Amino acid sequence: MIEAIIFYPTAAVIVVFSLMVVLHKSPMRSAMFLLGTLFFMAFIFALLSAHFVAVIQILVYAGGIVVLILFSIMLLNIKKDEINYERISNGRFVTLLTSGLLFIILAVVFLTIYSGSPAELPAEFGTIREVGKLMITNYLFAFEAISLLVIASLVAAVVLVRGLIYKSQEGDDS
Amino acid sequence: MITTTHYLILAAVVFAIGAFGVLTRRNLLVMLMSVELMLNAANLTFVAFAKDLGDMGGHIFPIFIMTVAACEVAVGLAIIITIFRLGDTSDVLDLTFMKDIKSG
Repeated sequence: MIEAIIFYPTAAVIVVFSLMVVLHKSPMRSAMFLLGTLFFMAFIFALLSAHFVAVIQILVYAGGIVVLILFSIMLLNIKKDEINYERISNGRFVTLLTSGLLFIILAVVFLTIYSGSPAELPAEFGTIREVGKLMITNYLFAFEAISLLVIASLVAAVVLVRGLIYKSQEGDDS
Repeated sequence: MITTTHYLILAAVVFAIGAFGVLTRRNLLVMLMSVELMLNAANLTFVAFAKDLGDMGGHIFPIFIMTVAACEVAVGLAIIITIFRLGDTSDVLDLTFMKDIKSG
């Protein structure tokens, strides 16, 4: 009962906010709505007794990714794109049909695949201790591979933007 | 009574909205945000099935997906900023300057 009281309003807010992310004209507002969506998604994770995932969701997404997106919106001058924005275009109806079809297919697959008999959960399910233990035993290789990916993307991001900085400095000298 | 199906349907809705955003929006930044929505919907299915099956492997993978998403955003934003400096646009329909490159 208490689960339903939390689930339905949170789900409604998530759907509305994610629609606003997609439909809002200003990318800045879209980013703020994205922040809201991800924050309320953390509620849903907590409701599913995935405490660690909920905390990481708020830390990484709200604290890291959305801030990164906000800063790059501030770096770019996107006024021109806001003017180009059109709410209704020819492509939109086709796309609406496509994504509606995608939703129907997903829903049908989920409804047929789901057996409907939830397993008994151990008391420690989803706590940081248990998830951490699992991460450095069964999933150790994936964990190390991910850390390699993080370093690679860090280097890639720096290399991609560094050339531009040199170029703009040369432009200032001449 | 909230069952796993409710969570899965919510994930499907958010995924479809994200796909709609990727397909319709012309701004690269908003497309990236829509991709984030889709990734998050995938995370939700992982966590929902983890609870349903009583297997915590479904909690490990969302964490990995979030890490991959963070890497993707870092590199993606670097590319978007590079494109913006080169072409003064973040509109995907204006990104045609690859065909201006002369070969040889």
